[in-house]
Amino acid sequence: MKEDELKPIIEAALFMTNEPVSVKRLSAMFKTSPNKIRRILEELKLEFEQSDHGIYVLETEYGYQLRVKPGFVSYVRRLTPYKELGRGLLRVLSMVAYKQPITQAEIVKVIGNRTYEYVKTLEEKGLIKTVRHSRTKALMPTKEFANYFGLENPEDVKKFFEEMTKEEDQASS
Amino acid sequence: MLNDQQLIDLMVSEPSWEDIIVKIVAEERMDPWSVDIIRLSDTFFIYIQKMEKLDLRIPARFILIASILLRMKSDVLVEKEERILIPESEKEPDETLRILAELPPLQPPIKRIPLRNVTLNELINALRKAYKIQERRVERRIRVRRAVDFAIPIEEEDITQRIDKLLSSINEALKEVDNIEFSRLVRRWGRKEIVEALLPLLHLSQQGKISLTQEELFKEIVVRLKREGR
Repeated sequence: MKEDELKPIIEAALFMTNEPVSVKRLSAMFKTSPNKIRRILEELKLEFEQSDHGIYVLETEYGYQLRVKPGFVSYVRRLTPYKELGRGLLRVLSMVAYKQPITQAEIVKVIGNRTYEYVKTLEEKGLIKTVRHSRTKALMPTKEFANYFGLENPEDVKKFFEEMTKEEDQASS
Repeated sequence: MLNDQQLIDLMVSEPSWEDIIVKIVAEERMDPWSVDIIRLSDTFFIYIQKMEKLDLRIPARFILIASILLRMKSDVLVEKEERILIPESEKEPDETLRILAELPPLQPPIKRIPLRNVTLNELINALRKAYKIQERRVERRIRVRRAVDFAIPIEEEDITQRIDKLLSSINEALKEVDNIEFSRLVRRWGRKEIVEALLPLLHLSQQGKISLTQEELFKEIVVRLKREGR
């Protein structure tokens, strides 16, 4: 298949899925070399980065995914009732964001055994990264996490949590 | 076959036009594509002539059914005309099947389920809930532990004391006889007392001081002392 024929197909593939799609998978699906697929994905990435697009191509180590640019989320979020992150995922992510870094074992104590599955999914989505920490893993939010919530840095989220605890303290006193 | 009056009754009584057509086809044993529209129109005229009061819903239904049938028939005729490029006689008998097989399958459009980003407020609320759930879990664990402690009173007597006590009563009982039934070692045949006696008995058996035999499940357990050299 020619490159100009393949490009819209790859764009459609990214549009269809809500999960990151790997180069390997796209290469197998369209019987094209991974290099060619990667080149097209990079082209798409650059194109969507232009300000006249409301979405962008997110690249993580698990693949590529289309996302709404953080600045436009508030305009369109009411159009769908489905949240990208379910309750469990969100709880794990919130703990990672609040403590950063936090060990996986600490989260297991609060959330339970499903933590392992949630951590893997959040990692696939590029929102957290894991570092080996003795027998467990240390988890911390990524740059993509900051990007997702429209923050400069992942650490900036801490001040929102501090405000939350302040409000709670005031309410209890 | 339906007479005119039956046809009128059918048209007036049935709730939907689909049911009417199905009934006409069934009653008249007609090919669904060959329902006689002229006959339908004629019965309609008879109905109009007989009518004293005009209920607008009824003629509307006649017109609807007749027009639907007319539309269906005309569609079939148009399709036929388009297809008659090769005279029927010259076609192979399985030609239609071949044409059908070559038709591309219908592909319904695939719907994408859009997912929205989570907001910062939702993230903060999730943390609050996570810790609340943990608190509730700890509270529940404490409650369950208290309930279990209440439901199962823990014996104050040490298990080794109970084992020794039971062994001495077995020794006493087996001075003159070779064996004793378990039921005779239990002071009162109640559930609690049975468990109280069985537990040290099993320990004694495990320690190799006694041997237990039970010929049938839930039947009597026979206790024997294991003497040295035996």
